[in-house]
Amino acid sequence: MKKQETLLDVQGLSKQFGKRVFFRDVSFKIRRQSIVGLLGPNGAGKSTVMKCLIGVYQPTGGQIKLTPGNAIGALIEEPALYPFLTGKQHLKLFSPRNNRSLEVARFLGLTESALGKPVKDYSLGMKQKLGISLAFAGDPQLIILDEPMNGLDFRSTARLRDLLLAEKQAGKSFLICSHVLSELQKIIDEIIILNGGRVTFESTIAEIKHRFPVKVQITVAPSPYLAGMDLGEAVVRGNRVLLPDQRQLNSVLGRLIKNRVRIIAIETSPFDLEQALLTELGVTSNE
Amino acid sequence: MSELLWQEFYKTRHQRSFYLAPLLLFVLMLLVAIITVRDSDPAFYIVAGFAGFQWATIFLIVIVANSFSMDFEYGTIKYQLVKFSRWKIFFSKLLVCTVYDLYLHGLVFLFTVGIKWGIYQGKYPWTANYLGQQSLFTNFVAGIGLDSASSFIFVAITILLACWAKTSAVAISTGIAECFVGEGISNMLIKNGGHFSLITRWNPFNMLNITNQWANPGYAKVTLLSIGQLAGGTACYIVLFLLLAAILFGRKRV
Repeated sequence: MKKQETLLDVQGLSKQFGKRVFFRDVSFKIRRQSIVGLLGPNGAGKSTVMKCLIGVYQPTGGQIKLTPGNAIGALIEEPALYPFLTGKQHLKLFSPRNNRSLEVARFLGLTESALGKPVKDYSLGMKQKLGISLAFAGDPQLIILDEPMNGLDFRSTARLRDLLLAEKQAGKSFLICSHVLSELQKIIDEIIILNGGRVTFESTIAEIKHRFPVKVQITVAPSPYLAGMDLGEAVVRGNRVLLPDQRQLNSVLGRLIKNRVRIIAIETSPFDLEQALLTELGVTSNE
Repeated sequence: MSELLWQEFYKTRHQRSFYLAPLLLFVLMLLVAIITVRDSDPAFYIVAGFAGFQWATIFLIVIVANSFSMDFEYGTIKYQLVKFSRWKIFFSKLLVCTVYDLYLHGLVFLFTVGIKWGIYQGKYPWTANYLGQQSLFTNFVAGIGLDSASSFIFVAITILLACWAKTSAVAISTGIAECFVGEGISNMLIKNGGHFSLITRWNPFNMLNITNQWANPGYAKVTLLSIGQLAGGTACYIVLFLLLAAILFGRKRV
């Protein structure tokens, strides 16, 4: 299995209902062992694109090519469940021949007793966990998840993150739509932004991180030598030394130590996908 | 396709109505049998399955409406559409409903035999002649066969409504209302139709009289159609309603 092999190839996809165009000329690829984030404002057409991918809607135009021998699993919008069936009965109904969904449900924290209850007695979080588990029914190679963190507590969110990363390592690919960018940035490899029914931005996380490097701040004890020192691109503000990225950290630290400047703290500003995207797309956070 | 059929049966089997319907059917048939025990013509109630045909149709309407609506109502159709085409899903649901129709009529047969034995024992033997035609048993079995087929008009109308409406409630309430007023509306249309009764006699509700006319050939004066014409009309309407329902099912928004 080649990691860079394309699993899903979407070319010129469009969908309209009557005269209303939901999206037009949407093209992207999903490679094996990758997690792709599909982002965009509300009403951008994300869920409709996902529904076209799984065959709920027939696209008006374009092509969807899934590498033969592979299957798609999905959780789109809210978890679709029968209130009169128990969690276990759902798993048996949609995944009668393998236990993959059951393993995922257990991993996400659905206990045997919870799985034995009818879904009408489930909380939002439990329904979400069961919905995610059902997306794994039949052990598909590509899994589409629409707002998978909805209703999950912080512990379950962390478990979901671990699950997705482990499954990716095991060879699966994911297309995830979420507004929780702080969580998404921890797992995704690529980003596709859909706006106004078109793909307006496409990039790998590595490229974005390269364009928006982590900033470093070194706090030092007051020193008379600081003002006259050559610190390259670093800027001195009072007793703080600000670096635009991590690349020069070692050389700046070396110079500071050499000049007997006492270092009190080194802080890095974490990578913020939301800020990066807002800057990349030329949007202020108020817009 | 076998997986889809298995899924449909699994869902139907796990609904409360699946177990409740036979139980209620038995209780209601038993009540009718007890109430009519002193009636002047108990054989009529035996042939009519102690009104079991009517109750079976009502339960069938509820099951059919739920079967065709719930996957859209709960959104679970998305799981099926990932693997199967809409036509296959429609056909599998139709097949399950057909089996359920036969199952309910099978129960009416068993309950009628049981209740008759329990209440009348040797009285009114199955071999006795009924209305100067065939035996009681032949009349009863033919009635079950005809009702299984004619109740499919209700099934077809209910499927059509369930595919059209957003929830099953519309299909259930309309289907049950047809059960009670359908024949009345038909009779009114034919009786007050004047010259147009040649056309109005072909209304779909008139086809519901096929079982009545089988049991009582004099009913032809009301329906203005022969038993063969009623059977043909029933078949045509079933096909028409199911075709329309399939088109609506194929276009229904998820």
